[in-house]
Amino acid sequence: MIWEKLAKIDRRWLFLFEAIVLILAIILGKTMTMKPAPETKKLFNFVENLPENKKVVLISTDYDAASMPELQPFLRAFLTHCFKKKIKVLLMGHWPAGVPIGMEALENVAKKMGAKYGEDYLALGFRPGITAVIAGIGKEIRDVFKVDYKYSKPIDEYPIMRGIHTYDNIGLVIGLEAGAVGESWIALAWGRFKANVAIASTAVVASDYYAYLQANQIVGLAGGLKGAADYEYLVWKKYGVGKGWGLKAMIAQSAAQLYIILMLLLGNLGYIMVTRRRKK
Amino acid sequence: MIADIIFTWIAAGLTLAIFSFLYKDNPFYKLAEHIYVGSSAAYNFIWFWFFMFRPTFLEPFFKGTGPALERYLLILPVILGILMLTRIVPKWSWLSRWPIAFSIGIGAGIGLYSVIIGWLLPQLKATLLPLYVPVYQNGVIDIWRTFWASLNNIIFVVAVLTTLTYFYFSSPQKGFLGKTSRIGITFIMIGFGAKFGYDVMARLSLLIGRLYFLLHDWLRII
Repeated sequence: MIWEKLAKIDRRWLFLFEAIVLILAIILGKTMTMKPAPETKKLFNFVENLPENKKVVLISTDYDAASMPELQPFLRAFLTHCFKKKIKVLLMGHWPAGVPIGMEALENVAKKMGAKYGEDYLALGFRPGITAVIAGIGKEIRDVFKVDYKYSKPIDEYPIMRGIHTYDNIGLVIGLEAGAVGESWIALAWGRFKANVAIASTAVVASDYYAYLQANQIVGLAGGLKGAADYEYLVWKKYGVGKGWGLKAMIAQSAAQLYIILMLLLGNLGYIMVTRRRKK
Repeated sequence: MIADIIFTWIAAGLTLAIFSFLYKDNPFYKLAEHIYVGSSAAYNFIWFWFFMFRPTFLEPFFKGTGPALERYLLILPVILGILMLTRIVPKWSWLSRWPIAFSIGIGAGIGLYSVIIGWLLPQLKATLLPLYVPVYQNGVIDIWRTFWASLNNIIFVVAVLTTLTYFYFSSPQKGFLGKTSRIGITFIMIGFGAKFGYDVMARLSLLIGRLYFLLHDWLRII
């Protein structure tokens, strides 16, 4: 009887309970201890061991507001790591809204870490044409980005750009991806110019990038909120800073996953019980 | 400061209006949906004007200091762009084939090399794995680790071959071919399962992000 009632339950009750589980987890949860995934650890170690003459990373924010909850925590943790290691940061984006979103995190973290615009970091901005931009950087970055994003000044006016011309002068290109632009980074920047490429992506597309990780085409991968939380944990463990939203949100994530698993089990059990009773 | 409060309230109101669809379709949801579509279109138009058309054509053409020929050449892509719009008029739509042919030609020219060097060959190379992987410890074969490393590669190679078999349609999927393709579909299903797991995580992350906004930025409970 109870199983039949449960089978007919209005799904809006399930939504409501899920919301309650999440709200409680967000309010009551502190931070979670993580066991970082090997692919995220690989990325962290790669950044840790960047050679002195290549302490420059090019970050491409290829996402928009819809992917902020997943990718923004990673960006903050990654920037914290870079500024701690005195690695120069160049920011660009292939998505129209990616650059202002990236700038929000960049300015925020730079202020906290005491990094200076033009010396420790620079916003290159957005240029149309994904393939042309990626291929253009391989020949001369100034041909693609003549002026910076923030003040529209020629990029040569900034000390950070001294000696940076092509991928040869950049230690790591990291694409923060909510779509397939990362595949263009891999095909062109890695395939044609042998640049070191890493990917931090939303969970939806993360599984697509594992094939490139397996083939050693990317040096590391941080997938979804879990990847962001892993990176936050690694930075915090090593430097004592960088704990943020990613680690906190993973408590709510885990609680919601448990709730879904429980509902799946109950749903299947109910289905079996009801069909058995009907057969009798 | 006041602007921050006002915009936070607007964002919270729109979030709740979107969530209200979970109960049932209603005018608040419709309003929020239309505002989203409209503002996205407007944002993209502004972005196109300020970050595409103006810096790549208007400024270099009218204010550029480079050679005249270089400036006049910029008219060509604009003409091609306008030709693309001829699709709207059926009588002139054949003209849109030129810019399409141009983009396909450029795309294929740049992309072909990168696709082969950047995707096809490395992926192919990563699939050609040895089926026996001896793992040594202090000069002696570690049987347990050798077994697992070899098994991992065997599963990998079998998965690739059987999955490819599933997509082989030149002969009927019966007998040996049918059996191997059934194994292939099992691997495909496992792949879909992993992908779906990631999908669930992604959607939950977005929901958590919105709830955090409501609790932290709007209600200031946490």
